Amino acid sequence: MCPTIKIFNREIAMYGTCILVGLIIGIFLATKRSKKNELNKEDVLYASLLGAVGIGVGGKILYLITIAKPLWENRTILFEQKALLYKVLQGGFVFYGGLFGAFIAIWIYCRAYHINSENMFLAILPSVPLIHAFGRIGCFCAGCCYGIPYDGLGHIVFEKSQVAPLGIPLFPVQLVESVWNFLLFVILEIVVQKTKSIRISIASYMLGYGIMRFCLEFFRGDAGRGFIGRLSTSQWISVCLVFGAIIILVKRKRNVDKDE
Amino acid sequence: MDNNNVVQPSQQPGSEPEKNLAIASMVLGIVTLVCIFFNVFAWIGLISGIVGLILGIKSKKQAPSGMATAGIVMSAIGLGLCLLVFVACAICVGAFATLGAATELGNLNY
Repeated sequence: MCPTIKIFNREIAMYGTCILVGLIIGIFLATKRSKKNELNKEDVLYASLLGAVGIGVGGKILYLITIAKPLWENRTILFEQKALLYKVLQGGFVFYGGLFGAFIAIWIYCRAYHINSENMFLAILPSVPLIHAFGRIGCFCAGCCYGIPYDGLGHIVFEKSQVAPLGIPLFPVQLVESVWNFLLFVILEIVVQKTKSIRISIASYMLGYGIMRFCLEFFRGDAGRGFIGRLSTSQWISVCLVFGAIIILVKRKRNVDKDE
Repeated sequence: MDNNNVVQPSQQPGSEPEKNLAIASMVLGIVTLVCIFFNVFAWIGLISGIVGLILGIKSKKQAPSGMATAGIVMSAIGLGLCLLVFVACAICVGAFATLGAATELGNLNY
């Protein structure tokens, strides 16, 4: 759609711009939630910044794992042509890798400085789908992560993209995922405020995102994703997330029943 | 004996190790900001920004100082701007498609 914009005569990728905007808004809202969760504003800011670093590092590591086979097969070409290696390293992130990376970074920060990690996750969690929603708008602008050929209601046709097939009506999978993430952000804000329970909040996110991602993967048309059997890597992780959420909720219910 | 008033050496503002961390963070922050202007070195900016941010936070938590704050701010801003320069989802997949096609044909003119 609009892969780049020109600022001060420099081409800037919309993908990175959207993620940056999402990060700034997400971190700002997380610091606003610090008082409600009995946390220091500065701690939430630092944990969020490290979480953002975790998103980048984790997302990149999982992406490199999913493309490990072609990378290894073409290793001689990649080492001979440094420009190509640079371009391969330049882009491509797997969201689930980013999610785990952020989780680990925030957890390490809380452990290192003796901060209540449950409260910290409650403060930061609703910002995760918000940042992701902006990221998907970036995907839409760049034309990556595009949908299957579809000419029904709401189809999109890319006229300017380095990745998406040009001139073919496609399912707007990036926008659907973005809208669902915005909804998930609102739902999580309400769940966190009402329950104040990290288990219910995390389980809600895992269920909400896992089910949606599993379904939407069937509508994706980009071939550059890792597959294990008939399901993509993200679908397998989605299945694990949903089972994880069910286990968390069942365990919590048992504990509540025991206490009663 | 009342230990409440005893100030730990690591908490003294401006003590040597924390000061060094703050200086390192600030220098890395400057390196990150400089890297923004050179597209090819944006990845160096990303690495120096991440290290600068971690060192700055560590220094600020142990002994708050203006230099540590400057390091954190510069590293964070630099990281954000390097992200703009370096991260381009579309370009990568395009490059990979080129790589795949070229490998199949046994001829890479990239």
